[in-house]
Amino acid sequence: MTNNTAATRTTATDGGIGNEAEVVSPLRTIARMVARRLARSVVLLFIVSIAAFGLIWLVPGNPASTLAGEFPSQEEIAAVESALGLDAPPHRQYIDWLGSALTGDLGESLRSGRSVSSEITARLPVTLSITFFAVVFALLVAVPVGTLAAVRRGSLSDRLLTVGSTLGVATPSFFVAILLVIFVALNSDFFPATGYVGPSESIYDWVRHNTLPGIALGLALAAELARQIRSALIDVLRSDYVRTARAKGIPERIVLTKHAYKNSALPVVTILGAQIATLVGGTVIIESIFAMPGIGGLAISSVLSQDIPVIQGIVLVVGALVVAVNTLVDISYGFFDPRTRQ
Amino acid sequence: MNQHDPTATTSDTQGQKPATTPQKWAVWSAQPTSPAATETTNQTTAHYAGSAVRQTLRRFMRMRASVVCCVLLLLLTTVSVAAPLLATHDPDATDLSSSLVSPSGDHWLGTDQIGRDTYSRLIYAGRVSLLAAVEALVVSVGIGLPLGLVAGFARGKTDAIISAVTDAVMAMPGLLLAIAIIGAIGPGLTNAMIAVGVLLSPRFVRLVRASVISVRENAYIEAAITSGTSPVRIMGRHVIPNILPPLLVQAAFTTGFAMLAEASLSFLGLGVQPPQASWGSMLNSAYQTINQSSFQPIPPGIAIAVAVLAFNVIGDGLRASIGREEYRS
Repeated sequence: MTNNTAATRTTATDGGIGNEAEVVSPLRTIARMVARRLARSVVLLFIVSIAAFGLIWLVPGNPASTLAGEFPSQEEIAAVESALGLDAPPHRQYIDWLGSALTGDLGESLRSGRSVSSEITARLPVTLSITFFAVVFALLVAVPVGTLAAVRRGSLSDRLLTVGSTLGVATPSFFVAILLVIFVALNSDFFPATGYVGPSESIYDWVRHNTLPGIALGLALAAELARQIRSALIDVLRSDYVRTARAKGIPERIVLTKHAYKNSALPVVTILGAQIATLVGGTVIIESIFAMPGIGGLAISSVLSQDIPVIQGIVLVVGALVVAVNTLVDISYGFFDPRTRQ
Repeated sequence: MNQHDPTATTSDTQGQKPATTPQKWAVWSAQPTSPAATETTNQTTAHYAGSAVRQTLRRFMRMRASVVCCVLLLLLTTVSVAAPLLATHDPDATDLSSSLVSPSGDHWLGTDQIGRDTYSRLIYAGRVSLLAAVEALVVSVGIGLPLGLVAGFARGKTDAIISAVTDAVMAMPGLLLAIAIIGAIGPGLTNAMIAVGVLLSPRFVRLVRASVISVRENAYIEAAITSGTSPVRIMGRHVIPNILPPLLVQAAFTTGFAMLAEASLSFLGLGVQPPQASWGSMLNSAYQTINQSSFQPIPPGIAIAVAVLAFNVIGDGLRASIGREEYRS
């Protein structure tokens, strides 16, 4: 899947310019590259916003009477209708919704009546924390394991990595989470099984509460990354310039850190970017297991009560975040690897 | 495949113009298109096709892990189909006097909170989980294949629109989007699997589109287009057989992924609804009683992991053994 993404990215960007890019100064090429990626992300955001808003059209029957709760009165239906702006034509509704969304107003929850944007901003730090811990855990595991397997190719540790990463990718994160609760949280006081503490209250408690969720969420990513680092490193270690470096008598440790890592970093960054969406989606279920008050919990409770404005807001905000991260990754890729600029 | 297609095109044209004059026949007969000759070519095609399948099989059989996983999956399917015969208890029969008992001779995998036999529930739930994954696969291929064909063939604006939407869907967190769709259309296993199928369809759109674009570069497709063969026929005869190998590989991975998605959604209570159970919902109810019995989450969790693993390993094995050299890695 990730290979697919990379391939499409390059094909999507190599239209048009061709040979003239050789004459243009590097700065202009970079500026063009950034502009192109930004334009692409605007298109993506536009589609995401339509998808988020369009959820209302998927509600079966008359949305207003379905969403007004059980046995609504005529007034209640009318209230929902005007709250959602359902009395206007569809394109008008979308433009109004997007217009206020751009100013930070995502409407009010149908159930609690609270502002959707403040509900989301209150819960976003929890989701971002779990994602952050997952990425840190994945890197901490994948870099040494992948390196070891690449350096000692064919050895026992290499084969263990292959088996381990296949298992790691297939094991559902929520099963890992449950295993961690059974075997770690229930047996020790250090890692709690539930709850969340923000970093502003206590860094120490923040780490304690986020470690197990981070591991559960990050395990599949660690497996995937370790595999990629291994194959990227193997490719680099076979290359001519590494042979030259070794022939010059540079110690293996320096060959790895100075030459090999730099060139195998790009595929790793690409995968990280591609996996961000999966990670953020995965937090939904991890939050529910560890009873953490994040976006996921909000999404589930609003889905169960068909609180459409909240769901729309979550899809829009999370979608925008993911598109932003991916655009940054794309742009950084262009900076590091001149070949992808065109 | 390649070298036989010109023959296929010739017979196409013949089929469309049955009223050819004898003179034209003279021209045609320079090529081996007499009924007898066509038969021989068909036989060679069949022979080649047979040996391609056999070669693929031989390569696949050499991959021990994939073969083991195939057997495992067959076993899972058989057990699920034969669940009524293999179950030791009624999967829904409650017995509050023996709730959350440990594995024993009577209850092989113990019981859940309301005394239902975990082993019997597990094999019945397997039916639900496997079927749901197949449902999602059918939905995603059903959407992805035609859209990919259209995008790859039409190119231009149509392609740009389809590709942009595909990119946008792929950029979104799938699970969250599935939850959002369920929020609009309501919870339930069928709804959940439709949502999952829709969200997985971009994988097929991309794959099919890319394959169509690379296949249509071939001279024989151009020849077919020039000779007036209808696009539908070109797709059916030349394009689909060519993209079948990568499609099969992707189908294996997608089924595994759909299983994972079903388990996640049912775990969250948005998929399968009680009293029906899937492995995901069993895992959730076992998690509710984790303080009393830490064994109960293990069987459904392992079942999910093993099934998903099997689909992934089979996908890996297929990728390494099926299709032309350039598809394999």
